This record gives sequence, C-alpha cells and structure tokens, in this order.
Amino acid sequence: MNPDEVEFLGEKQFITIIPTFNSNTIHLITGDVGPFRASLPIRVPLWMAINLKQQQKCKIQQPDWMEIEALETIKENEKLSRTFTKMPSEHYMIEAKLLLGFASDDIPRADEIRTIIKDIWDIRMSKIRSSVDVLVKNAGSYAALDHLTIMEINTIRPILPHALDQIYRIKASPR
Amino acid sequence: MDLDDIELNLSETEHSDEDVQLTPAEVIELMEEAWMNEKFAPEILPHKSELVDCLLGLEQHFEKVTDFYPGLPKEDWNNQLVVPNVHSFVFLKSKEEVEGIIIDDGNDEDGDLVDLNRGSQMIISYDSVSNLVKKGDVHLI
Repeated sequence: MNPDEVEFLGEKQFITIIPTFNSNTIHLITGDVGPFRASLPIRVPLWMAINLKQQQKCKIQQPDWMEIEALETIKENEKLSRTFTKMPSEHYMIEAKLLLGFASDDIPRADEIRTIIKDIWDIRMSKIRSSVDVLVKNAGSYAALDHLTIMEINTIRPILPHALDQIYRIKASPR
Repeated sequence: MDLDDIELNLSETEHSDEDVQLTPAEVIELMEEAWMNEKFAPEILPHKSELVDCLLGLEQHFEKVTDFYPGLPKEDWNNQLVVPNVHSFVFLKSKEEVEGIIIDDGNDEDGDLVDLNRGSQMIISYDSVSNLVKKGDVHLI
C-alpha cells in the first residue's frame, strides 16, 4: 500500500475542532457533520479538520492522547511490554504527522510531542524487526500481529510475505 | 436529500435470503474492505455488484458506468491465463471469532490450528483463509 492510501484510511478518524465560522450541517455520504457555530467545539473527520485549518477557519483541539503525560505513559508501557501495546488511535502516526504538520500552532510543546511519538515508533519498529527475525529463523508459517497499525504493517509488507513464501517453498519441496 | 433517511437493501446470498439494511456509511465501509481485499488477495474475488448497485442507486448523478471489454480476440485469452499463487502470505484483520483455521506447514503432517478473536490481526497464507475473506469474516489489510 502506498503512503497516500494509508493516509486516506487514517483521515477518517474524528477529531475535535473549534470553528471560527457559522455554517449549516454538511451532508456527507458517511454521515452528517455540523452545524458549525463559531467557537463551539465539534467533531469532524481529520481530512476536513486539516482542510478547514489550511483555510484558517478553525483551531484544532489536541487529542487527549497527544499530551506529553499521556505519551510518556504510552512510551513507558511500550518499553516494558514484550508484545505490542494497543495504541490510543489506530492511525496514531498519521494523526500525529498531519496535526503536527498543519496545526503545530494549536498544539503546545509540539516539538517534544514529535520526539516522544518518534521514540514510541522506534521502540515498536525494533520489536517488529526482532519478531520478524525470530519468525524467519524458526521458519514460521503464521504470526499474530495484534495491535500493529496499518502504517507499521506497511513497513514489513515489502519483505515479510515474500520471505515466508520462500521458506514455505523450501519446506514443501521434496527432500 | 437527507442521507440518513435512506435505507439501502443488500441481499447477502451467502448468509441468508433476507435483505440486510445498511446505512450509507456502512456501505462505504464495506466498499473500502472490498477494495483492500481485492488489492491484497492473490486471486480475483467475487464481484461485489450488490454494493456497487447500492452506491449507484444512492448517487443518481454518477456518470453511467458502461461495461468495458479490452479488445483482445477471444482465443488469445487462454494464453493470458496466469495461475495465482494462492499460498502467498497476506495480512488480515478478523471481524468475527473464528476457530480452527488449519495451517499448511509445507509437510504432510497435520498443521497447527489457529483461532482468531474479533479484531485480531495476523500474517497467514491466503489459502488458509480465502473462504473467510469471501464470507466477510475476516478482511485483508
């Protein structure tokens, strides 16, 4: 899957914005959004939030999990756990990338947040690498991937399925 | 037009003959699953014409979709057949609890049995789960 497609999937997440305009309800095929009242918080899909932010028509409210304290806890749990912990959002990396990219003025301590999220990503990536190593060395035929996000799965997509396929061919060929 | 007022009927022949009612949002979600399943499955999956019909019924202003046949003489098609590797490995997410998926381990011994919980994810060979993909119990990611 290319990164744009992963982003497309992640942009459906709802986040809270504070609009600076008034507008009637918008009818989308996936459901209604609005009505918008200036300075009243409202939940909208991430893609719409980014679009409105780019037009300077809203402020974005930082998701609860994107606060320093919450992220520190997530990072500690991820470090302590042997398996992958459940992330606060199924598309945490996409949300972080878009919000920190387009709305860093709405997010206090954005640079520190960026660093912690990168740390969490790195811890998980190193777990993925060691799990793949174990799986291939044991010539495994399947593996659970619970709590991995699509973007993380995408990093092993170019190699792991093919590696397992080759291992299977070797095992299945007559000796 | 208020989309919430529309009920879409989708008859799922594999499960029952009764019509299942879906909201537009649910239809979009199923379309997205169908897109990802088709993208990642090594074989061509059954066409989701009912889903497409649902959406086309919803959006009257869609341009008329005409059937498209590539202009290859019929006899040439036999030379174009490619047999997919249905044992290739895929990533899946389970939508239901599934018990007793048999793993083909490449030898003649009985393979492991695997159970899936709702929401669990796995890398596994496609032929172990192709029937589940078609039934909609799991979807490819």
